[in-house]
Amino acid sequence: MYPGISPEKHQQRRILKVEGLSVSFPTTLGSVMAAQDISFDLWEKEILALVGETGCGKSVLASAILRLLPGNAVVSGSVVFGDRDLLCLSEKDISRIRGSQISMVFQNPTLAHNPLIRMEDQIAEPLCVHRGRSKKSSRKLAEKVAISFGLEGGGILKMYPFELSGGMNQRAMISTSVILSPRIIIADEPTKGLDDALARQAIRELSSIKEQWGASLLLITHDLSMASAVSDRMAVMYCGQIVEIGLSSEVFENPLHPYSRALKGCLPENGYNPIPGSSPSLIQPPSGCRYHPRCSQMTALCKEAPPMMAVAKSSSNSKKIGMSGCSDDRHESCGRQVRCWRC
Amino acid sequence: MAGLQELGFFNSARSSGQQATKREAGTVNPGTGDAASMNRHERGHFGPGSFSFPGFLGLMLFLSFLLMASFSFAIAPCDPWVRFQPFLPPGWGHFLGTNDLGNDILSELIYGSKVSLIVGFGAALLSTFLGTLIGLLSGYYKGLVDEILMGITDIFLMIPQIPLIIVLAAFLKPSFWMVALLLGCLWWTSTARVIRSKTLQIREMSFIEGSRSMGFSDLHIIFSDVLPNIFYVILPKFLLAVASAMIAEASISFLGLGDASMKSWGMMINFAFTRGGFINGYWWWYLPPGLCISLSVLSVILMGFALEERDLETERIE
Amino acid sequence: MSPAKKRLLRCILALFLIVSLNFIIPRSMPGDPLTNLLGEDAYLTEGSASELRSLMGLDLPLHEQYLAYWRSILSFDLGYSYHLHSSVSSLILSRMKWTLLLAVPSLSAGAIFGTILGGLAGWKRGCGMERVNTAFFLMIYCTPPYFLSLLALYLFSFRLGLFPLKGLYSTGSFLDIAHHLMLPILVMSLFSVSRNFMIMRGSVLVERRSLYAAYARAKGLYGNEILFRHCFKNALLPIITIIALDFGFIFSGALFIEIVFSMNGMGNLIYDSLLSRDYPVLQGSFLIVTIMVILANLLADLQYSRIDPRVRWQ
Repeated sequence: MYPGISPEKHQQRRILKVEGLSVSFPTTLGSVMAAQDISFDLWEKEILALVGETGCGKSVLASAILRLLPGNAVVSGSVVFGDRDLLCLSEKDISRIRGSQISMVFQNPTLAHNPLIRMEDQIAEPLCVHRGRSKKSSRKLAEKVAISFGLEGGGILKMYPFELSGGMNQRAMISTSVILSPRIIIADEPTKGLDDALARQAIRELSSIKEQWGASLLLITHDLSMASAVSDRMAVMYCGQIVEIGLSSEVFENPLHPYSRALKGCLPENGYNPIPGSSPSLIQPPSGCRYHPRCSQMTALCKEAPPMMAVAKSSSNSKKIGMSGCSDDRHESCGRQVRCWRC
Repeated sequence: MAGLQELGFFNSARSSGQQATKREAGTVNPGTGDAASMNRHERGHFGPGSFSFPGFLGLMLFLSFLLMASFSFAIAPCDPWVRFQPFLPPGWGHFLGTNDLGNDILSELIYGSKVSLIVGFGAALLSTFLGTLIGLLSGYYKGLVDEILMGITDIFLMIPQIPLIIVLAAFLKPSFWMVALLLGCLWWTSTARVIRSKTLQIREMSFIEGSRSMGFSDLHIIFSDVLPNIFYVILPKFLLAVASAMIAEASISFLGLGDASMKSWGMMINFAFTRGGFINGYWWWYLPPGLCISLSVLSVILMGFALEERDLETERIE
Repeated sequence: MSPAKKRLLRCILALFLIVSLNFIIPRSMPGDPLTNLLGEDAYLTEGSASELRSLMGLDLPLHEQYLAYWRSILSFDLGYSYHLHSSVSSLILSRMKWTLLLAVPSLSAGAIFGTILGGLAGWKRGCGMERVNTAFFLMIYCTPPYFLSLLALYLFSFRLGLFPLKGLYSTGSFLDIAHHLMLPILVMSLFSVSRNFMIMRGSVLVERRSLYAAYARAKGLYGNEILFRHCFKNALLPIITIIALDFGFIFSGALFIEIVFSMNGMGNLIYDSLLSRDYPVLQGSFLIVTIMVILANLLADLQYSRIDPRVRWQ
């Protein structure tokens, strides 16, 4: 246990525990392993960023937590929220959690809104559904929330999604997600399709949620620098696995996994060095370490055996305490962890 | 607005931008995820395997009808034009009895499958060819070509086909080739619309852009890049056209407008209806041809259904 | 040009095309145009034939005939049936009400039940009850309406004696007409439900995969709520026009049902005129049916723009 912080307090502060979560999709060409053995904790009032390139399975992971995957998905593992495993709940029970306790911001706000329903009714919908409020009274609250996210004037709320810009639709979606003050908000690529200024705006709004609404945020993005600027902790995903997790500042400043390092190297300010090779197929992932075909420090061992998540050797103990404390048996699960033979 | 409406029977895809992204998202893309892999060879649509039970049933039914039509001379117990004793109930000599003229109904039934299948497939081939061509040109060139072609399609779409065929057939006293031709010329519209909206989506994909930047001619791109990628839409559409044409043929011959020189199911029912077979309760006269019509149409529709459903199976992954 | 205007223009063009087609057919088909225009029942002497020929303007140049034809159409003059000794327009007018009596309730029932049942079937694809529903309506979908009528007539009237065998009425009282109409309306409704069912099912199958449906689920909507709050309206949208276009097909189905049930409506009018080669009646009926279908399409378009805000704002 760490000095100064009692275990009970930690117990309270953890609100979501994902353990050994795997998702696969059977297809005619074989099984697509979209996520494999994902484990992480989400703490109260923190922003955890999940970073990875397109197709690494991060959106699938987000949908899997709320059980929003299509029916053919095969999911195993556990997602413990409060004292209940979300994966074991009935559809009816989880639908009560969706939107009220855990809400989600989709990556394509313009398409995620129903084109035939006025904006105010869509924002107010969670109120009608979860609280059984009338349309009229819920509209008033919807308006209040929408105004706090800058949606006001010009009868915007009486408009239809196609009449609004992408940024406005995004704000409407964020308003919808916070309207019932959920404990967790999962934001799936909230900046996708927005131009730079709007993306920044959206990020500012999302990070304000933490303070204003007291919710934790699981931010899914491919933008490493954005993630490091906003989030408290960061997990890097590659080919369906988390390869590195730790405090954002540490991961960003001093990435340990070769993939994290390569991702950082891709940033314009670091010389825009592309990662050699292409992302592997999720149907037949490479044997051993999944990154080995593209890794510059590959050894014979990397080819043969898959590395496990392990506490990073080089991470200093003092830094490990920071934001994330450890709860019980496995000290390793809270600090900096890397999935690499060399670290 | 023309783009928003679509005539499709089971699964109508629309041309709005929403649909376009969905198509891309709906494709299981195991590879790298770049646009080149969207090309035809990586679509797993027609691989063997996941053909559902109804689809299999349809295929079997259809094959038996096809066999019946191609080898009717060998399968039929007797010549359908030879006269025996009239109004015989089903029995050992004549499995399904005889009609008012003493023709063996089972033999008539077997010979009748020919007209149904020929008209169905002939009309569907013609209509699918026309529809695909018009849809491809309209979707690929957009602009004025699209406006004109889709205008024509809209107008054709609004004309009720069966009444028009009745009027034309009343004047023409047609052969069954003529019926197939008429149906084919009237039934291309729905195919054209679906093909157009698919073409509109495909033409925006990067591998088409790639072909264009390499200087390939428009025709080359349309037929060797766009066409193979919409083939999976054409086939179910074709099967539905076959089914529609078969029902239409049966309806026309029920009115006595069919080809009198050929046995056809619709005409058998017509005779049973007008010559007292129905009133006297000779069920073996009209029940078998009616069931044959329904089953043959069902077999074709089930196959089309199975193909489309399989397309729907590939659900959204990322 | 706005889409609504474009649509209207297309309707007008379709109307124009149909009238022209009606003008061209009897004049271009094999045989004497006079016979083609009068019907094969009209026996004429040499003298009266040439008299009629000039009376009907058949000796005039074609473009003048064409203008005259338009003039008569616009004054609702569709010709004269020598077979039935009556003007075609009054014949159609008197028969049409019976067809409408059959078609309007059945089409409404078909639209309502077809979309709801079809929507549910698409939403719960693969679940037991919906499978049975789909199989049932698929069978009906594949059966020509006249055979369906024959089956119903055989079973309910012939075998069970629940309904009269033919005709529209025997005493003319309301109950009597309703009793006669019950079975045809039932068959017609089944036929129309089956078509709308299949269309709606397909549309919902597409809509339920859309992002907004997934988002509705993420908001906490449960089961059928998503269908009825979100997908239903969206799925209905593209098929309003499809249903309207299908109207022509369903309407032709009504004609066949009438023939089997020996009802005195448009279907039998067309059938009788076919048997006696009464061409004026045939053509007049075709014209009227087409106009009705085109009008139904226009109505559907109006409805469409009422539901879809995107069209309204264009």
